[in-house]
Amino acid sequence: MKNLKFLFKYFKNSKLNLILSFLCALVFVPCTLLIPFLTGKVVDVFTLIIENKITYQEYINLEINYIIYISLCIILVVIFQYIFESYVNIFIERIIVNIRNDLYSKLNSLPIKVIDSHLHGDLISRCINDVDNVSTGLISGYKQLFQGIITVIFTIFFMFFQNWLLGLIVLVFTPFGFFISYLIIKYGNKYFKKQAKETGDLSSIVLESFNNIEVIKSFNFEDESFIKFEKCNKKLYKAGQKAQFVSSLVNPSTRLITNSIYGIVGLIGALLVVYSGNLGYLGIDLTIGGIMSFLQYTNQFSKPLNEVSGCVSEIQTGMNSLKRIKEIIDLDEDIDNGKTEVSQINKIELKNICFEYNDEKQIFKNLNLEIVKGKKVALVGPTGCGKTTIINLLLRFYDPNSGEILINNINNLDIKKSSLRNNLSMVLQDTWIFHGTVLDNIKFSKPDASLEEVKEACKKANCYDFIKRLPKGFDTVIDDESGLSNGEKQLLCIARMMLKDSDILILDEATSNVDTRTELKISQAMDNLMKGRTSIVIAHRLSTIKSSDLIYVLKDGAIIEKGKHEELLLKQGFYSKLYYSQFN
Amino acid sequence: MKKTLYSLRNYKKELIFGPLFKVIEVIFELLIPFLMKYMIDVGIKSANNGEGLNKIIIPGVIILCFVIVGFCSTLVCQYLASIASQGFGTDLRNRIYQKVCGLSLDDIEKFNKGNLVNLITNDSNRIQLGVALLIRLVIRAPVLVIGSLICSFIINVEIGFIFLAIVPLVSIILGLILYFSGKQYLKVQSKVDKMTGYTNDSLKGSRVIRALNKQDIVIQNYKEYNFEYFKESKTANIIAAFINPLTFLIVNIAIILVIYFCGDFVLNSKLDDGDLVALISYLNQILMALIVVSNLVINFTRALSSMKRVDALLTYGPTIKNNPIVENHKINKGDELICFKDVSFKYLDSENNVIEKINLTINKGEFVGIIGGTGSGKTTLIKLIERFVDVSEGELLYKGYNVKDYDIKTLREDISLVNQKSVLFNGTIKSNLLMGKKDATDEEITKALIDSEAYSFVKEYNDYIDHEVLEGGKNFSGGQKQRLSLARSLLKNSEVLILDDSTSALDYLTDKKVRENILKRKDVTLIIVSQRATSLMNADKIIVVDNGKIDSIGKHEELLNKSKIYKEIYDSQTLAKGE
Repeated sequence: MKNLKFLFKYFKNSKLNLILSFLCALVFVPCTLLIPFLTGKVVDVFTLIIENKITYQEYINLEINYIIYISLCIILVVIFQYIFESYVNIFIERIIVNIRNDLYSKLNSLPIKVIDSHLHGDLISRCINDVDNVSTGLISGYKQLFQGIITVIFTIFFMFFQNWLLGLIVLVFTPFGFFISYLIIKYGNKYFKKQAKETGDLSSIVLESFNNIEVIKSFNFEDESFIKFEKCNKKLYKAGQKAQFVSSLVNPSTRLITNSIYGIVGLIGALLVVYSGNLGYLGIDLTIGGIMSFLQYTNQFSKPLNEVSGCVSEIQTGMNSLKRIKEIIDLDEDIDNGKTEVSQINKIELKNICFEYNDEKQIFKNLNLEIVKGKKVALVGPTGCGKTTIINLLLRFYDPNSGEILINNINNLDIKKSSLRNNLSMVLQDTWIFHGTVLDNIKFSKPDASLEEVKEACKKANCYDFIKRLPKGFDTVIDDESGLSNGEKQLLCIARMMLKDSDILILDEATSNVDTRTELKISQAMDNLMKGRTSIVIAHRLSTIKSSDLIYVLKDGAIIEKGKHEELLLKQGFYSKLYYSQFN
Repeated sequence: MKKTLYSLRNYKKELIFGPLFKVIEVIFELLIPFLMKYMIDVGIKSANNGEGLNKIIIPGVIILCFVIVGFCSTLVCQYLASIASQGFGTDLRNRIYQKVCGLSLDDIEKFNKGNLVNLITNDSNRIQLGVALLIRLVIRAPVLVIGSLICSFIINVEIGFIFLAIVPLVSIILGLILYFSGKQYLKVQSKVDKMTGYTNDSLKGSRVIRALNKQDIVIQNYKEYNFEYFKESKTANIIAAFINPLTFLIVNIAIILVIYFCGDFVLNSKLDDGDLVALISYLNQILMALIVVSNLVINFTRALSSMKRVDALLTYGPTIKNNPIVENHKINKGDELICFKDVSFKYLDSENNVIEKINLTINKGEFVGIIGGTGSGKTTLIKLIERFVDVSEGELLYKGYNVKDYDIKTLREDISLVNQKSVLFNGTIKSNLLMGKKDATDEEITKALIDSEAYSFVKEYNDYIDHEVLEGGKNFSGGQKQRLSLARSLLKNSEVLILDDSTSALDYLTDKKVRENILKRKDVTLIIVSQRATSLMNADKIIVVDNGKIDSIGKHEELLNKSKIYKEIYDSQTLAKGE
């Protein structure tokens, strides 16, 4: 129910659409119902002429009149049904577009922690497939609902107009159809849930193994990974087959009821005709023609019932998908309570920081660190000591469990995230290239940059030459999967940050994928860029950080040494051990 | 199409009996109006003539029986349909998965991984749904249409011809609409694909997007893609919306014709008015049947386009073929193990060679380093040895025979590769390591962990090697992942061990220790691809690759004199700036 409420929100601005589509249905549905009524009248005319109650001329006039009426109805139905169908489809598509936009916006305001801990494949499938399912369910549900309600109201009216007793029979028996459908849907729901779960499991298995197919191949692990897949696929089969069978039961079951009603009405109707002489006082006066048209109405009445139940599985799938969408929409958004704006960062101070991901191993125990404006600060330490985590904290992708980070002596929780991040540029270990042209990728950090600026940044980042060699230069379409080597991708990411040109640079192993000759050239360019700016460098290649103003050596979650390169070497401590290890 | 539908062969029984039971149901449905007519025409007259109610009650009961029998046969049909379609879908998914596992990396790149995932998660479902609907609903329509046609001919031959005329007319119109809307839906699908790709990109880059405060821009871009989708789907809807009104129009024109001609027939006593009612109800039945089918159009166009995609994969002849003719054999230490003879390689659809005329030899038991700049072709050499791709020109020999003559599995059993990108799978540390050796004991695992310098952090977990590994190993740091994937390959204990830049996230000290641990192992041939000259200084042979060609081969000291490139790399890494 909550999910439906969520859906109804999107209809709020569509009142006009609702009314218009209702009006269209109000025109064409009764017209559809009038056609059998009019053809019935024509039949009556035939009877009259056979019994010689009217002249041939009268017969011709009446027949032509009725044919004109019928044609009129047909034209109205064709026009208004067309408007109804296309209109409803389009306006629901529009709602779907809004839902999709909202979902995507939501993804962009979720905490990084949530994104890190969800399967990306699952998130994508919620944004695309589930929304698609909702659209299918909504369109057929909405159409059937409107047409159904109007059809039912009008046929009830026609039926009672013809014979109240038979009308009553139809009305009493019909709820059985609803009841049976309800029972089946309720019973089937558990299989639908199971099916949805297995589908999710299966797609994460596929994602994982296809993304890492080279590893699977090099370990000859194809068969094992297939067995894992097959097992999950089998589970999906079991749940899916039951879900499908159950949902395909609904329609035949309602047809069973409506067909039975048809038979019963015929039977009782025939009996009523026989005994109608004795029942005249009940207001029942039935002729053979009366039963005929009544039976037609019975069919009309059951039509929407059958059709609604025909799209039950679509609606059911849609409802399940709606739930999955709602789960995303209900996730808590990234907290940004900060109000203070910073235009320039003069000092960053980490005080007694404790931090751990998911209550597991503690990464930092009382970490203290200070970064002063204009200085080049380097962080070194053994693998896994938490160097990368500092970036997560500085950029507020994560917040510390205790302790505080002061920016210009202001707690960073009080600073607006966007304002904080505007002052920081970062190049991460994992490169990010999106599908688009090289230019799009570089300009991402500064969309209004001129081509000259971009070229300048690329030259500084040493990627101008290789970009020029690409088939279409800056307009070459690239993506993460293909086209570029890791090093080239890294260079583009550096160029992107060159373009942003902000106060503080954070480089996380930024050049680990670039060959050392290129790295040398980059670090020269970086040196120029870093002049007068604050920079934080995280590197394993100690040669690249020798020129740092201050080196922090991290180990076991705390700073164990700090100082300049030469000072640290003189100390003969952990740093010097680390440094000399590279020369054996 | 054939390849995709091949999986249906396992469900012959269901595919025959399912529709058969559907046909039974339709026949009962067609008979009911006849009985009803009998009950009313004959039954009421005989009751009025005082012959009792038998001719009313008996047909009434028969109708109810027919309804129930019809229901039961539908149940059978639905059940068979669920088995056949779900089973078909399951088989198809299995086949796609296996097919992908057999493709070369080059092929996979060509198909795009995202699309391949979609084939299993989306396209198979759509084809499966198509099969289910085909059995459950589509068979109904022709049977109902033909049945109604026959009934109309039984009632009156001339009227029967009106029926005969409208069926092809409606079919042509439906066909045209289906053709155009089908084409349009393909365009819609391509827009959906675009959105999927964009969502994927922005999830991967969520850190960068936030750091740059560009959420608004990506949202704006997404909205544009979404709007493009909307425009295409609007056109598709405008076309598809013609289906119902147009079918309705034609069938009702037929009703008017029937009425018009019937008038004369009735006057000439060729028909009675009961027949007219029956004829019209049959026309309505045809209309209903066609509408049901046309409402399934979207499902079928989707299934069809999915089928095309799946077929493209299933019929694809993989570029790497496995024709083993040589048995694996042992060679002695110092013998030639790997030999490149004038090897060149270029990617499919590409004109430039990635590597050109490579000649080199690696002997058993050697420690060989490969060094070179970004994009110099180092990784391609490794891909060739593992047969992820095949040479375009020249010959690559392994233990004296062409690599193509070995069973790919044997080859990869012999060669352990640690990738640039360290990959862990969802499961436990143990389940990941066992990939290297299925029956490894806990002691062997511990040994591998110690050698890869991973023991120090793994031992800290309470559950030790049963510690959980999340999807993509995201609960480990880059360095931890590298050490665990190293351990996995060490456990394999194979003849050749290749480290493709796989210690880049390790500090020098750990890097060095790992190398020493490996070299202690007996008879192992170690090939390290690295950008760190210092990592390779002790190698028996260093191969300097530049721009897809071999610059020089030699020991560290030789190369310092011989190779300008090597010296430059070495200097850039060891000398302090300005010195």
